[in-house]
Amino acid sequence: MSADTSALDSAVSDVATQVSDPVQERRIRATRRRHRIGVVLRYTLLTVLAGIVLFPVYMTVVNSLLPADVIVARPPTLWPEVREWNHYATAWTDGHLGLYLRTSIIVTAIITVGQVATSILAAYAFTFLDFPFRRTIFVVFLATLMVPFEVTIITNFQTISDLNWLNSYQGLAVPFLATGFGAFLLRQSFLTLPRSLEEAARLDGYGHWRFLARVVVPLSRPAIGALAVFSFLLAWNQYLWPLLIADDEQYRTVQVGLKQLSQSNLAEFPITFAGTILAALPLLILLLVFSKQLVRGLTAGAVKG
Amino acid sequence: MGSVVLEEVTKRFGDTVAVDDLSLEVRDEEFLVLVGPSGCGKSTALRMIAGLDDPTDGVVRIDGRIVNHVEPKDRDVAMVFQDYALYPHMTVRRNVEFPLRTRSMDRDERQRVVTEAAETLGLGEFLDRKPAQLSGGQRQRVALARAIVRRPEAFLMDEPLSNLDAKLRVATRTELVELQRRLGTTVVYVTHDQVEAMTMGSRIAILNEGALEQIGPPPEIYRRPASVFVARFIGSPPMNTAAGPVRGEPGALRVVLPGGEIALTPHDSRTVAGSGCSEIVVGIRPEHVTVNDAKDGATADGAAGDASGIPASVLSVEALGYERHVICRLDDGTTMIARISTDGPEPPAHSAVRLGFDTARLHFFDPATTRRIDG
Repeated sequence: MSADTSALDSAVSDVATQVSDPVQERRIRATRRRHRIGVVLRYTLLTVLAGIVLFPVYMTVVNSLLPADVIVARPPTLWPEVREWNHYATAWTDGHLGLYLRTSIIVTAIITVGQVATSILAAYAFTFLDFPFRRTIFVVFLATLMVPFEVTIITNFQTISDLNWLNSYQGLAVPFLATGFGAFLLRQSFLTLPRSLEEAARLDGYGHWRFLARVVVPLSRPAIGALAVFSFLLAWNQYLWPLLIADDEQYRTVQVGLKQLSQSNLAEFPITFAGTILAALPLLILLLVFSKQLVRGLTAGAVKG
Repeated sequence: MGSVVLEEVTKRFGDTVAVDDLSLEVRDEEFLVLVGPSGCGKSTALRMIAGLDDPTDGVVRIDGRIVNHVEPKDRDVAMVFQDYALYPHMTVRRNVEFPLRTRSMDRDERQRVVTEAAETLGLGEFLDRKPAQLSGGQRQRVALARAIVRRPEAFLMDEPLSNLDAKLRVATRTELVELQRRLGTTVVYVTHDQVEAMTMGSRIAILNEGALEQIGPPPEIYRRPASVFVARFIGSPPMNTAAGPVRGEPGALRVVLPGGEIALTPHDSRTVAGSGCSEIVVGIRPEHVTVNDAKDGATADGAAGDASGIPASVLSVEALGYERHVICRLDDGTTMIARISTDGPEPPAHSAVRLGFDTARLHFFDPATTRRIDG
């Protein structure tokens, strides 16, 4: 039943590549040249933009290595002749950044895993389960996206304080374990799965849990990955909430710790800069590893794959 | 073994009735085709057999057992979906063995069953590919393989060929019927394509607006359509129908059509007289209509005809190579299609002709009920 058309195909393409007309050839060459100029222009622009974005980062690295008295000199130093790597060690130990990073990593991990898990479950329910007021409840979920965190911060603080969760990992993480955004993002992704996949699985004896684990999650990896990265970024960069909840060294996150470092008696600029780099490092590593997932997640709805 | 029975089944979605009091029996090892225009309820009927939709009313039996409240997985049916419903992230092997993984079956046995199914459908070399790397026809076979590994009582197929190109569809038609014979299982097959229905079904059930119009073997349906709907749905081009009053004495009736009359055979006269209808719908297949010259009565393909036919004007002629369809219009605007051989000159468009009817091959329907009138 397979029709053998390869011979015909190659014959057709042979004809297509035989362009012998000199006028046409010149035209093709002109088009190619124009195309090349376009590429050069585009890359020049991108390079300039990348430079603008990266310059402050570069200056942070430079400043973190300079001796304290050189840093305030004018004009600013663009290339450190003497590099004082011990600033990083100072920030890590005396600035307690090691401790703060540990707290940040633990809290961020709990929030990320929690958000992904609750979002998958909520999105599954909104997509595949039939229950009363499904639409209404989903709209309420969406409505929570419109409420800024600052609005709920006082009641949340009250609750956490009543639970005696001040200065604890759960106090830092629990208010962020569920997100309307995540449920929305994943629901949109689940909706693109053909309904017949679920029906086929049902006929084959797969219940909701197994269908979720074997089919829905593997097929929605780009969206789930993107959500994980967003959750991580959000949790990592939190400032106000950890500042309120944790005044104990033990539970101080890196963002709060960094601010305090810049105001402490270690207030030498290079050490603060070194701390900044240390605090950004986990994020940087994460982005490098997951950049592909992130982009795919962002464009998932735009280009049907 | 694998009989499927619907008893007075009704399915409503809100205010719309998708399936209306449908009773149907699919016999064991039968290839039954559910056919009808889109929205006629054929897919809904199939989904109720599968257990994907619950009937609002009525009883579904599989193998004698009432399954209304039985989970889809426990009904022992396998379904082939229009879009194949293959899991894109799994290889062909994983797709085919997917239904087996919920059962207690050891690895070796599972491998054996999968290999056997793949062999049956000529998929052996594709087992480690992903569905995206396969052609439409190959994907369709994977869907079939996934259905046959379960050894179900009945296969339910929802337009499985509609995503294939025309040529492949014709080839796969034969293969599907062949596969069903070899496996000896019951198949309920849904399609909107009357050619598929005619060529594949051991019996055909024609649905219209949720209700069963007729069920029977294809030749019987073609020869004795039970209603105007069936008459016009089955057959391409469709049967010509025209309504007119009945005149004359019992035993020698005539039907008055725009521009002329048709004299009925004595047998038909008795049948029509017996029905008591004063007006009647006459049906005639295009192959039983001749196109005759308006003046001398010679047929378009050259044979000598009669000059007594119904006057009509030619709208257009479709030449298919092996035959021609002459599309004509009667005086009152009724369209009549004649199917003639490719011999002889083509009747020019807009020319006046006379249509001759093979009066031994007429069908009669009650205009009130649209049901067939039989002697």
